[in-house]
Amino acid sequence: MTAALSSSHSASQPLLSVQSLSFALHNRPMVSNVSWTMRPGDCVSVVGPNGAGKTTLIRVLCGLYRGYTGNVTLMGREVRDEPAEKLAKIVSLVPQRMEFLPCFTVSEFLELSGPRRGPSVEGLIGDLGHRLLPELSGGELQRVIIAGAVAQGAKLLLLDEPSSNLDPKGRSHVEQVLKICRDEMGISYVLVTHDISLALRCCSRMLVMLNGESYWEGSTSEAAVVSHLERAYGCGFVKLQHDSVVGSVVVPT
Amino acid sequence: MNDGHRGGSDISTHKPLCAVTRDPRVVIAVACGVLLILCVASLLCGITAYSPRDLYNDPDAYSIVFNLRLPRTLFAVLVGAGLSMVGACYQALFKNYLASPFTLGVSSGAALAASSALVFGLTSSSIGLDISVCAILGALLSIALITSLSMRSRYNHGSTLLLVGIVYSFFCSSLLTLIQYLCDYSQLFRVTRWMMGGIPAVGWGDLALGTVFVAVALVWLMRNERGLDLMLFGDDIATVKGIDVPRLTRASFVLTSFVVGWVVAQCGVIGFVGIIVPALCRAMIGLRHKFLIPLSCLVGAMLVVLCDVLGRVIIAPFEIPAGVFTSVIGGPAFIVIMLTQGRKSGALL
Repeated sequence: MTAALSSSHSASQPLLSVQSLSFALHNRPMVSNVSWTMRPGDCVSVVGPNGAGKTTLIRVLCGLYRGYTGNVTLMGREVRDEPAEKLAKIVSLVPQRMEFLPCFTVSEFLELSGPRRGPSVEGLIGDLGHRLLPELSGGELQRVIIAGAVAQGAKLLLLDEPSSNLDPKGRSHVEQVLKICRDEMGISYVLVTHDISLALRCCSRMLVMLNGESYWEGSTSEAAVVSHLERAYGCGFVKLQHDSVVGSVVVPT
Repeated sequence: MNDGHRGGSDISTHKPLCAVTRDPRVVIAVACGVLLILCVASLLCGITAYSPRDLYNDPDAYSIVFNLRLPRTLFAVLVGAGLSMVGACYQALFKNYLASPFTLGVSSGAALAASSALVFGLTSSSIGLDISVCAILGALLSIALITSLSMRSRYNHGSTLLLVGIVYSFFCSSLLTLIQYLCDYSQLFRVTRWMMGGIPAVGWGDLALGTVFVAVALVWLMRNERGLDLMLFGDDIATVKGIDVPRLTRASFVLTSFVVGWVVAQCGVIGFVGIIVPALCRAMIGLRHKFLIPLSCLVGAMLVVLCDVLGRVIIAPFEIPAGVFTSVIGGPAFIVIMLTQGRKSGALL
């Protein structure tokens, strides 16, 4: 299956293509007319104030919401028409927190997630294999969930505020894992976050959402990023740089 | 991270203390052996006890054992296996370890439909097929109604589901009482006796339909054991891991409703088997359904065969229905398991 998907996906084809996407939940518009493209290897952050439609957007992308209008294609396949089994080989979701956390061991969770193994997956879980999922710290759990997504063979990870509930150590873990996915495994990801500094460090592009619409999309290296963020969030931001910090830190003023 | 998880009997677990370390294959092998011993005991025990030697020397003993006790024993195996399997399935699909055909009112709905057929003369077939059809329809309608009602709540689906199930069960019980009130004396005795939940004396023909229902449901659940495992994480995670959740849920409900409907039509309501057996098995071998489903079938069969044997010998020549024993044993046993094994293994609640 994976081989078939790979062979049908040419190098020039976008990994993700969103065209005029609109989606309403309980008759309330959540996402309106969003268009956006990702190429293989792209890492994109989706930012914006609460209620901007970020989480809804990635739930559409991974096939959880299929009643959308417009087009969403992953490796050339329309998401709404793709069976869950095939979609799981392309995309996976890393939720903000697990609604249920049954007492499986980490190894069992990986076995359930998918057949892909190797240094990448083993490296992500380290020595956690025998531990029960509810015993893990927040950072460890996010690492394991990401490892599960890699094990299922996903080429695109959708991360919904993966570090929002974590302490600084946990956030650091998540950031390291994202860099491993991007630099060593070549896995693309969409990172929904309110942590602008994390978004700038881990992603090459940024999609700013406001009121369900795409407010701005561009490179995170553009100088105008901060001004777009200020207009979207309605508050000031300052970009700080220091020799002890890799990249820049963006904090609200 | 775990603070936001749902509490109570939902799948989420707050303080697991240790992993389950027993080898599931060994436990299943032991369960097979114990079930075999219980089945042999069921064949030999009864109003008259026989020794294996009697089967060779006494034609009456041979006839009683092979024509009466063997089908009855196999029937008890099917009933126990079926109810336990359905309980394990419901608990995965609803992500709630208190879900079972009994607690959700599915058995009551099937019983209401079957007793209506019984009392209002809808039964015409000598093998009781019409009662079975009515009970299956009752089970299907019940699960559809309970699921759709509980889905309307946006909050804590697990608890809502149980509340809806309990209310629905009371509603069906009230209607059953009304039906009993309208019965004549002979019908009243028949319905009351049937509602106690016991293994009837059956022939080989009665076994065939149940065997098909239980076997089909078992094969389906075993083929979808990964899906059931992933359902424990919630519908969203199961979906992004490649499980067609609506298809799995619908097909499982339909196939298990056939099992519940058939069991209720034949035996009445046998309570608690669908709760305590999967709970006990989870405490023994953990959550993986590829082991949990077969072990639940074996232990469920053991429980019902044991209760049937006890019912036949305790006040022989009279019989106590197996459903009385499962309820008497099941309620306290479930509380004990919940308070002890769950904490030890972290695998129950």
